[in-house]
Amino acid sequence: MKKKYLTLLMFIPFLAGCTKTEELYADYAYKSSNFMENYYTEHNGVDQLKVASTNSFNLHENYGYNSSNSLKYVRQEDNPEGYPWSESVENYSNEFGRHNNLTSIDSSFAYGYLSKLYDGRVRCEGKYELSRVQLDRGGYATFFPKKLNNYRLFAFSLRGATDYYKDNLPTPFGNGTGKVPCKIDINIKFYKHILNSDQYDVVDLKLSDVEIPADAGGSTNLVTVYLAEDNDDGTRTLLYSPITETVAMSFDFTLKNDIPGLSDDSKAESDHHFAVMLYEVLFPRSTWR
Amino acid sequence: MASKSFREEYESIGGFLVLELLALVGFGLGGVNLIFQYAGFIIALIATFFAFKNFTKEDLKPILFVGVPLFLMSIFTSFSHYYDCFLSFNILAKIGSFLAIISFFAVGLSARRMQSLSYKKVLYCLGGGLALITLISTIITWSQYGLFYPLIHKNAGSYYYDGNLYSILNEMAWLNGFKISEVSQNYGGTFALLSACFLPALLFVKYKEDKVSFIFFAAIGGIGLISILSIPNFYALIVFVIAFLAALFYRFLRNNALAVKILGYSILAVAGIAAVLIFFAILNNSVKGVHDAIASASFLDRIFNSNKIMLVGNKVIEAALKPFNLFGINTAQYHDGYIFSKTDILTSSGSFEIEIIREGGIFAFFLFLVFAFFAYEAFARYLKTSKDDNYVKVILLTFVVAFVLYSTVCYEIFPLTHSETSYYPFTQSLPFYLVLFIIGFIILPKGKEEIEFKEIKRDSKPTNKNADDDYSFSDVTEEEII
Repeated sequence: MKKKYLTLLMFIPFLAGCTKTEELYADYAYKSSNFMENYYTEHNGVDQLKVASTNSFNLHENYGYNSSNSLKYVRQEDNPEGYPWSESVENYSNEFGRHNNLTSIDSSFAYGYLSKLYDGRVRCEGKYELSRVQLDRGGYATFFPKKLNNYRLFAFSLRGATDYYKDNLPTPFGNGTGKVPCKIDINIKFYKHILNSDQYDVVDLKLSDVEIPADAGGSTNLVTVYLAEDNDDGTRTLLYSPITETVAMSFDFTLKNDIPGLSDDSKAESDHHFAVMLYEVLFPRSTWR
Repeated sequence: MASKSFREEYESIGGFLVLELLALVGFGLGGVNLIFQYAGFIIALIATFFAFKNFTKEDLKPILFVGVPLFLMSIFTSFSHYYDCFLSFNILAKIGSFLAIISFFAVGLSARRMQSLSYKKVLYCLGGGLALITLISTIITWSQYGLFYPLIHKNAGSYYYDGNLYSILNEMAWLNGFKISEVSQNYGGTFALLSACFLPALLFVKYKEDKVSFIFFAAIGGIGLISILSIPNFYALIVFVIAFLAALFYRFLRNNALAVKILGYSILAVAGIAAVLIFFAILNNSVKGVHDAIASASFLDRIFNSNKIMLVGNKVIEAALKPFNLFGINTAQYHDGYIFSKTDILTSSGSFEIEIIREGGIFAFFLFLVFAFFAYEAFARYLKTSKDDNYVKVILLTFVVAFVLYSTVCYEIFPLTHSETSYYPFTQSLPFYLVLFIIGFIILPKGKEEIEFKEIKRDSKPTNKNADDDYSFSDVTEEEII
């Protein structure tokens, strides 16, 4: 009889699955006053995945940019929601993020550091470091907690930032007025698991010359991406299949502005560093399973 | 055999409802306090109906002394300005709050005078409910956080949830209705601590004489203590040690005249110091000269200004002294919306005394002091004259002592860590209701009839026959009372 109780007691340590302690940080993690300490460079194992095939698509603000491939993004006047390519968040109203964020769509997105990208805060809203993920050119990658079943559009909000202000120097991007935007090429990869294998198909979206504000008092842009295909009769069909079934994504970028002394690589020796402040990743009206 | 009256025949149903209420209160049903408030009222009516014939005119005076200030305080705290900006605190909630305070007190009064209720059943249900919710929540906490997690992750205890930064160092998992929620350790610790208060009963209950009670109290208390230790919750542990010392005092020194005298003077001294502190805390927030004098003396400044409780407490007291806040702080003056957030005057002070001022205003606080004085007097008289078994007395004593001490430093008005809107008023907290039940339960008739008061026949077997027990188990039947 005593052995039974002892056996039961032995189970107590095994109860310590510690789901809440899997991703813990020191109190100051990613919210340091030191710009260089806030870079999030984790790829969470996504960069180690075995890739079976990569299907790349070039997307550009000008409709029909990638003529060799039938996949295109849709211009503002053609997309069903009327959202522009890259537009100030203020033009959407603050409700856009609150109504479309992934946590409100599926509560499994609420856990972990990257929940900052799914909480609906598409701009600073006075939360500063707590609402954004600071990225260098290597970007970040992560698995989604579930597989994307379907969606309406893909969007993300971001801005640029530099550490020029630490030296009280004017920012190279319009002296803090935001009138001179920074220009970046963004590379977003979606990973789709191939059933009964350990490999993944990758859809690689390349967004060129995306203009976003930088060091402009927290002004943030929302980039919306629709994918479409031209039909033979001149009509256009919105496409969702390239991104559906996605289980993971990665995000990296390259700064196009050539500014001496400014590097977009957090590991590079440079007088000043650039970062993309990613506020939100959105799949409005999506379902996950 | 004479036919039983309606009361006699169906009293056991009333007793069952009382026990059910006590057992379920700890669960809280996910914060749906309104159900317990109105259920408490209905059960109070039923219990009073069945116990009515056992109330005597000697009961009236002590009940009124304790009950009237409680009744008036409940009016102030329930219909206060404070809830006016809460969407969820409509008139039904306010009435529910008022009824609950009075009802749990009345249920306690009636429970003692119901023939079908035994002390053991009351204690089993009271402790069983608390221990069960503590056990379930502790196991969930172990599985989600591991053992001793505030110590293990002391230097890296922050995590992100829904884009916000939280710390696991002050939270634990809790069975909140039918879901698991993250709550503050202060909140969860209340239930664990109150469960642990059943352990001192083992000072009087011997295993060989009453196995069932021994196992029950050991299990209830053990669950509470293990929960406190396995996290660990240091404040709860310290309060438990103090409450246990009170139990030890009662066990070994209650017949020592000198020790009792010293304790009496000590309590008087503490009460005097508390009165002086309250007086100067009020002056500190109303007379500028006093405030400046206190602020210039570092020791006094530390007591009245620079500590966790008074940082918020001063804001509350200062606001409570304004004419439009005399009947509860009008939150609309300080907050422009309907959504509560942890800012400024709405920050948790950690002290239930401050919460009473915040919720009911300064008059409610003074009424609470009057209530506390007479409740203390009733409790002292109960410990001295009641023929209840000593294990009953010691459980109730440690329960109330632990609740008062713990709630003075660790009361949490925002128990759900992931919600800034889950406000939990002290005067609507379920453990407070249980304490009101106990206060009602221990009120004995006063006057020369006091020593003639005889317990209704309860458990068939006495459980306490040890040599230290001065008060033998009363085996008097109900007929003898009548």
